[in-house]
Amino acid sequence: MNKQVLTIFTSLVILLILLLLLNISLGSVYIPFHKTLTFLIGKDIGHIGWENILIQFRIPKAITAILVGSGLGISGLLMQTLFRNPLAGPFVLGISSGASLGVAIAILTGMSFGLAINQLGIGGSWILTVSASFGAFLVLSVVILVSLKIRDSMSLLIIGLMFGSATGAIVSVLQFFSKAESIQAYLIWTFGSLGGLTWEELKIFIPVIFLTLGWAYTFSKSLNALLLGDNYSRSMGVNIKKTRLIIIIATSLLAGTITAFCGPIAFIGIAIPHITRLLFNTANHKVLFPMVIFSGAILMLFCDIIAQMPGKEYTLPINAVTSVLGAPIVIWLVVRRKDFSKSFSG
Amino acid sequence: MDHNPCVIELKNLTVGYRSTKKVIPVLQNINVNLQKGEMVCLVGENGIGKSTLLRTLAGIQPGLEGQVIINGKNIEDFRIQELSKIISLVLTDRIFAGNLKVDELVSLGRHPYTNWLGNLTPEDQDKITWAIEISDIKNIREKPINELSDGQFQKVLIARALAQDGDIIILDEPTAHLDLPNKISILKLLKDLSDHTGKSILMATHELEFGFQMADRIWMVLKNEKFISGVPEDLMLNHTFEKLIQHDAVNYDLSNGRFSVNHELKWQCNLEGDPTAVFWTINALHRNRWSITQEETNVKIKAVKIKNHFEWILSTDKKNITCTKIEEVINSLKHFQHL
Repeated sequence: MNKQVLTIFTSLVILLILLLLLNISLGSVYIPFHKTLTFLIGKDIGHIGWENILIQFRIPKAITAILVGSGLGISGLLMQTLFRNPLAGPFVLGISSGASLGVAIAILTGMSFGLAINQLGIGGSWILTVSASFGAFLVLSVVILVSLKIRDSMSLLIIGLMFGSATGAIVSVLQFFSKAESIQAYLIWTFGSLGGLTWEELKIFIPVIFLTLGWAYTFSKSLNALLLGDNYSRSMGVNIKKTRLIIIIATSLLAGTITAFCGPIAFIGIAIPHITRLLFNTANHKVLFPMVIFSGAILMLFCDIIAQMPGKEYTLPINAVTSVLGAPIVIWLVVRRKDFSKSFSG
Repeated sequence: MDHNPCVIELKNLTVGYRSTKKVIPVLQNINVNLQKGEMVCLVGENGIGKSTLLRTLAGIQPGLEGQVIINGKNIEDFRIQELSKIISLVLTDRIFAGNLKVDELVSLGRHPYTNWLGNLTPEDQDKITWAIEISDIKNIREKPINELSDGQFQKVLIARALAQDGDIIILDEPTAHLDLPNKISILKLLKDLSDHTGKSILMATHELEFGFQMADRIWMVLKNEKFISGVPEDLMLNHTFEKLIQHDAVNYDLSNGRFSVNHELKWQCNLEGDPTAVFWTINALHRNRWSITQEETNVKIKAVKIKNHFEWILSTDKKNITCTKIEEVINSLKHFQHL
């Protein structure tokens, strides 16, 4: 790591800590910043209500934001390198479409059996999580089976896109035959949410994301080789099919788990790898990897602060906020660094 | 007959493509050897299957029939990691990572040797430094690859292949898109490598003139004929080479190994004088479809050297014209073309 990279890295760490504190201290209920700090270093703040809000709601949400940002950023990076395509993201293989299909079936058909999932409370959120995981897993299994059959990665990208369109169409058909309130329940799920996770759910969410991120870091070497394309990689001893398979599995674990718990969160996965590449001007995955994790966490915390509209009663859909805030950042970086497109061409 | 050990032996090899329904052979029944330290040019017209053959030899694509034997062992019995320590490639594939730096790209050549994280040992560093120095890219090692010229980029790819440190380097058209000095410098670099490092170099190329000057051996693929292997000069003298360039637009002079464009000549004239001036005057006359003949014609040109410049005296039945440039000669001749 050279000096410039180190400087940016240090600023990222400081920014992350600041945003984390800010994220926890801000919300619809006003809690003084110094009280939040006091609470975080383990001291009593003498206000049960505030303590409950912090423990039960704000801290889990901040942790979720960090994991979602990092996880989606890394899945985007994995997909962009695997497909050597700047438009690839965590969901190009149809993971979110699969999850949407699962949830759509659960909500839209469940309601016709007289089950109102949003009225089931905690149990309802588990049903959504399970059906999203199941849908994502189903679509993904098909994609993985296909990936074992075909030789080149580009065909796989197209097949993934086709699956996405097909499942999207099935969801449309389901919506067409559904009642207005079921459609609304489904729409709310598609807005995404960081706030819904309980500590029980975090007990699954945290280790899955952490372990998968650690596992994915061990691909850095193969990912660097993949930058040169399938032929060169093979000639350097990379087993393409095996590498492709583990990249797909890791991406699915990250993006699938996140979608299951938080809904389909768009944009972050595509944008974060670009932002990181532009900031650090490198293609080396050993450097990109930690940077993507940090940038992803930072952007997600920031978006969440905006989404919860400090001082207001309501929160904006996180899915909209990420795109509204993220898009100008990417546009600004691309315009400022005119050689952006070159990081994807020879 | 062979003094050197063979690094690649091809036995009845057929290469091509296999789909679920049919088998499409591209090149059939190839029997040829690549020796240690040899530089071989693989020549043949576009689309005849050179790249397919190279990919099969490199183990990227399976052969259809026959055997590829690398260092005495069948290629199918190699693990992909083992093979990568013997054969390295320079391909025409585009690389979609323009912000990759030159030394990072060269370092990727150490991929087969590094640990699971790809950390470079001092030995790896030494190999990278050696590869960068011998390929003459030391001055650009910090640059991102999208800032390189085509010639520099080709050298970087060769350096990467060298860092991979196999006994065999296979290159697919390494001099395509390069200007003349760069073409020659790349070929010279490869020739020096095979001489000094004992690496065997096999490249597909369309550089017939330079290839035949520098290669130890030519592998030639001709349509509807057997795969031919031989020392360039033998292929010249037994007229095999001419089959490769049989085309109406091309003239080939076996006496000096030169190619020229086949102009369809229409008119005749006589030419004599200073040899250097005559040489270039012929060049210009041919391009304008005038041939030179020994028989008497009514257009005679005499090129004379006067101090530092040349003059041409164009004489016809009617008049004499003195020209100071070939351009003037050509323009004056146009007048007679319609006669």
